[in-house]
Amino acid sequence: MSFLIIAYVMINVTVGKMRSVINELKKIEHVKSISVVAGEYDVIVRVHSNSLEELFEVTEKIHAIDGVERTTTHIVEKEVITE
Amino acid sequence: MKRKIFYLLGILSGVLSAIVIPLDIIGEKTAPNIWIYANVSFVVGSLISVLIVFFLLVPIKGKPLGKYVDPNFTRIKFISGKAFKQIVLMAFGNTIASLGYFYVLYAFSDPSAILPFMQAAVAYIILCEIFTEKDSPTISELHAISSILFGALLASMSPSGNIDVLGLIIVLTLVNGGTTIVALSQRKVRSVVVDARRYDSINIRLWYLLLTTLMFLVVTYIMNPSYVLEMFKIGNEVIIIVVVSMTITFFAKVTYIRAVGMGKASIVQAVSSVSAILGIPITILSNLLSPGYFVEISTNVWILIIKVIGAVLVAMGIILLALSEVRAIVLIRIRAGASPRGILESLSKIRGVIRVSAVTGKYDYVVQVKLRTLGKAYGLIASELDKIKGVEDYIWLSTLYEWEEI
Repeated sequence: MSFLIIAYVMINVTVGKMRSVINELKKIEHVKSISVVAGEYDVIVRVHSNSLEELFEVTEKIHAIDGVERTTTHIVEKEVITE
Repeated sequence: MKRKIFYLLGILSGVLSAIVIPLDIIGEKTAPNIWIYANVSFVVGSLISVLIVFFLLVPIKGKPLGKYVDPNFTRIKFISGKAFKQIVLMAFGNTIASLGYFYVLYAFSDPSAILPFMQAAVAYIILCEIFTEKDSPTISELHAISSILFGALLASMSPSGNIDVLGLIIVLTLVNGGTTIVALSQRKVRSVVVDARRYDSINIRLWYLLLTTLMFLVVTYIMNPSYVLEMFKIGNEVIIIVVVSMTITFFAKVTYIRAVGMGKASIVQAVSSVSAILGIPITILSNLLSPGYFVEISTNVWILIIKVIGAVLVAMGIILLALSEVRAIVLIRIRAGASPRGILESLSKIRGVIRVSAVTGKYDYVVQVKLRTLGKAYGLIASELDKIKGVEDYIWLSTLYEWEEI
């Protein structure tokens, strides 16, 4: 049984590249959900990985996407789901 | 993508449940007694469900077949603890709804005219949500609810131009009340997380149906023991009808539960209420396929027009509800020295908050929010955040587009 590591990756996207960035993100394994938001960040991605190593690989793949300017990763320590 | 699948599942569930009604009408006319037919339906339905679940355990490319129906499915799992209580509630709701459903099937000349009113249950769910939020409904919610209720009323008109009041009352109280209990507790079961996994729709359906069958048999046995005992004397043609009807029902429910897991119960109910509209063509079609079992279709154009207007009103209410939902992500920073555990708890108690994650980094919490309208954002979320001690700063990021792997 592997540990589940959940993380949020906040992404700033170059203007005009949104559509292609989303399409590339969808192809990355372990990316659970993608939200395009209005505000400080442009895209918030939720990642479910089995290890920190795997999380690193995911962020690496995100960095490689053309149009991704900057990312900030937040690792989830504890979570409450109320729905 | 997620949204498309979500709506597709909802519609599919509605279509499948609409097909079941004419099948049940034929079954009821063939069987000696409606309650015997109902009991046979439940018992055969349970057996079919168990068989289907075993079939879904068959591995294909290393994964059980059921994983393609619901990715959360791994094996047959007993449902325990908090989730079990909700399953019992679901079964209780379904027993009440089924008693009403079969009674209407038996006692009224044209059940397919009254049963579309089952779709009005969506209005009950929203009213429950409004009530628990202790908040007044917005004008668009009132608009949607009245459109659905009046629409269903018009769509329920019988060929002779009458509306069967007693039948309507049964549908409005027993059937819809029961359905509301099922829908609300279903959502709670789905939200229980065990080992980072939610319960899958296949196991939920299986245990819920087995429990409902048990409760229903007990209730009908109390009504008259022969309803249960004479079940074994039933003819083969009835069994065939029941098998077909229950197999379709199983898939209707699985798609429904699957959709509820992806979105709000009220919207799933709303989307699946296409069956209210489908009631008209399906009655016409079943009349052509097996004449004699159904009430003659009205040749009065005006009655048909009124029924179509009713169906359109229901559809408009549905669309209005589905489009007004708003999602957002709120990023929160807390003051040094504040209790993270206490804040996590206070945040998760806010209505409209669906997930709170304590995270490392620049922000301390990522909060996911889901609201029926943006107008509720201040009253429900912002004013509550202001009250929590220790919250230093937050930013509100409205979600413009969303995708989720399913």
